[in-house]
Amino acid sequence: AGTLAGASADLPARGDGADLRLDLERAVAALPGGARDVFVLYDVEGFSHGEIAATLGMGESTSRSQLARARMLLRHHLSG
Amino acid sequence: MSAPVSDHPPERLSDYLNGDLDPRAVEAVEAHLAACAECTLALAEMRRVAAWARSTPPPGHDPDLWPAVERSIRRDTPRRGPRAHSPPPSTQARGEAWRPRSAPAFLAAAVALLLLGGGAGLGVAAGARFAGAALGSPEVLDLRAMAGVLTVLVVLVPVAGITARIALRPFVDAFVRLRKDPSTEESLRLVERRLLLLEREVEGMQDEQGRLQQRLEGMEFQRRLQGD
Repeated sequence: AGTLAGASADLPARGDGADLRLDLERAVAALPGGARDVFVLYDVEGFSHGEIAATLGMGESTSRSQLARARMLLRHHLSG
Repeated sequence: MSAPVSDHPPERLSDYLNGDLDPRAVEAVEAHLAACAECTLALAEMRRVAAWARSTPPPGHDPDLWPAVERSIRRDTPRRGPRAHSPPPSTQARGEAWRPRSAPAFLAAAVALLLLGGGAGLGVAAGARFAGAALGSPEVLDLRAMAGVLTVLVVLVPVAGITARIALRPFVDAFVRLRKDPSTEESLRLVERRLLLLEREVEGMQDEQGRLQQRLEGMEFQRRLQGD
């Protein structure tokens, strides 16, 4: 959906292991409903904001703000 | 000096990360990032989150968690059909809707005025006849004709008045607009300025509410995680 250029350089090291992945997945599950839906559809599944808006019955701007909410909430789980 | 962080809410950084901003907005965000360590850090962390999500196997690979997330999404997603949105009628549409109603009303007013004129004429004629008869020969008094004319007048005058009022209202309104008092315009300008200031105050309150909402969501998010 997006460009995300240069993002791979910021990926957690492989050595972080399954614990980090599981921790993040639990964090995704704990997100507020709207933010979680949009995050999974956009960042994981690769849908566009237009497609998400049509699927979830919301405006594209809402989809964008929900994605930002999810990313802001999740970011601390990768910074530790 | 850099713009305050509040000028670059998370949506802005997230859109920047996705490449969804136009060149001018990109330039503005990058200018801010050059001077704002907090936003730079937030952007880096959001980028890592997005990269992690891209590297995550699609739902279904994890036998435990992703199906649960999917089920949760499906459960929470409202089933909505296409919105039955009916936009408010435009000014032009309202104008067109007005014409069919006002044209018959105007015609009715014209007819009523003609009848009223005829009735008044009859009344005058009958009055003259009554006066002549009263002065001349009292035996030709025709009280029944007088009563009939008065009855017609009693009915027609209000009907003609109401109908004319309805039909002429658009013209009166247009006339009032043309003759608008300059002092009224000044008052309107002042009211508009006050409304603008109030809108800005409300926007500030909404920004503050958004910040509080974000903090609340963060606390709720942590509470859920700790409850797992």
